[in-house]
Amino acid sequence: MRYWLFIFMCYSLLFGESCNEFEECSMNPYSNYVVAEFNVMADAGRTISFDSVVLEGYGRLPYDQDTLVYLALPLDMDASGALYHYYTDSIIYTLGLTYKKEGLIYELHCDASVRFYDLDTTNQTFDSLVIVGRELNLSNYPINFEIYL
Amino acid sequence: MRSIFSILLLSISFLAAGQLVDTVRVKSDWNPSRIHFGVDANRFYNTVVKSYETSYGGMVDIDMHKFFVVLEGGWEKNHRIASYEYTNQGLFFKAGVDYNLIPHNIYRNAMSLGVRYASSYFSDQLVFEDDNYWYGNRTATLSNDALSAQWVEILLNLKVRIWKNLFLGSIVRIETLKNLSDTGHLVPYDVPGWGRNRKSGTDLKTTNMGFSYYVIWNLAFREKEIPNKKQN
Repeated sequence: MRYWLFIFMCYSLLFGESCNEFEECSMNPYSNYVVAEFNVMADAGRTISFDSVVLEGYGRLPYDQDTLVYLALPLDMDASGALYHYYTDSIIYTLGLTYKKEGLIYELHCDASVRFYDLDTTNQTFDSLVIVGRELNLSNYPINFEIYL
Repeated sequence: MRSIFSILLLSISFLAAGQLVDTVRVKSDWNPSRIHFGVDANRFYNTVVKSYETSYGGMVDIDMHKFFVVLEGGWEKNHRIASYEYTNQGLFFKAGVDYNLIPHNIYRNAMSLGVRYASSYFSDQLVFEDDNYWYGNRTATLSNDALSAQWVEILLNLKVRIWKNLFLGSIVRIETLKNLSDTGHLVPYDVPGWGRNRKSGTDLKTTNMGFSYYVIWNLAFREKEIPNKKQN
């Protein structure tokens, strides 16, 4: 009897320890903005700047008049699509997006997150647009769109 | 003294079995002789100690030859409050068979290998502050009303008699082949009966380890001979 109780105790202690890993909150890769990289097709030395970039339902995006290489395009978790207009002195470019989203707890001690995924374009008027990453996950996809003018 | 007597008795039994093994073939007794009723002590402990968890579980099994036909079930509620509020609650059921590796044990102790088919039915809700640079802070509520999950468990089960008909049970499980129904706009953090749904970081857990500790009452309703080691 004692032998079996000893076996039971060893067995319980051996397997009873929890073995979950914990991540730092700063490692959370989920973001709420699309990263678009702008490239000039014909002349690599030319810079890109817009008069304004407007997100329908929100308004003008900050830093839209800077010389652009990258631009963060915010997504709204209450919607499933977004429409952006890029104004220059001569042309208006348009970019329409659809996406899915889900809430999650990345780690118990971190803030809750929203994961945006299945990113796609509904319409766009740039010379070319390549979807590099369909998920807003900065670890896996630091850039989502490569846009060529 | 009693142990020595037991050992002597066992030795005599083995010797006797050794002499008879060529001539006597003992028929397997598939008729049930006892039922085990168990209360999940681990869940009870968690309910008392952990402020965010309320959980109850139990098991019942019945012996058939060297096998136990087992049913387990329970209810679990997790209410986690941090910078968010996450509530997850539901039922789980597990059915399966254990194969006793030591049917000849004189105390009716059992060390079994088993399989379970498990099913969980639950709902969850996440309320949190969405901190958005462009849209500002907004309170968001996401929920799943009727989720289900199924999975398979392979386990090692140890039941040890501590006093008369009272046993302690300990189960270590490997849970795998999880199939979770469509989760809508919220990824569950917990699945009742399974444990943590997400691995640390970004991936879902496809395999999990689980532990259960049972306090078991043995209800014998028929005498059944404890077989010798040679009588298989």
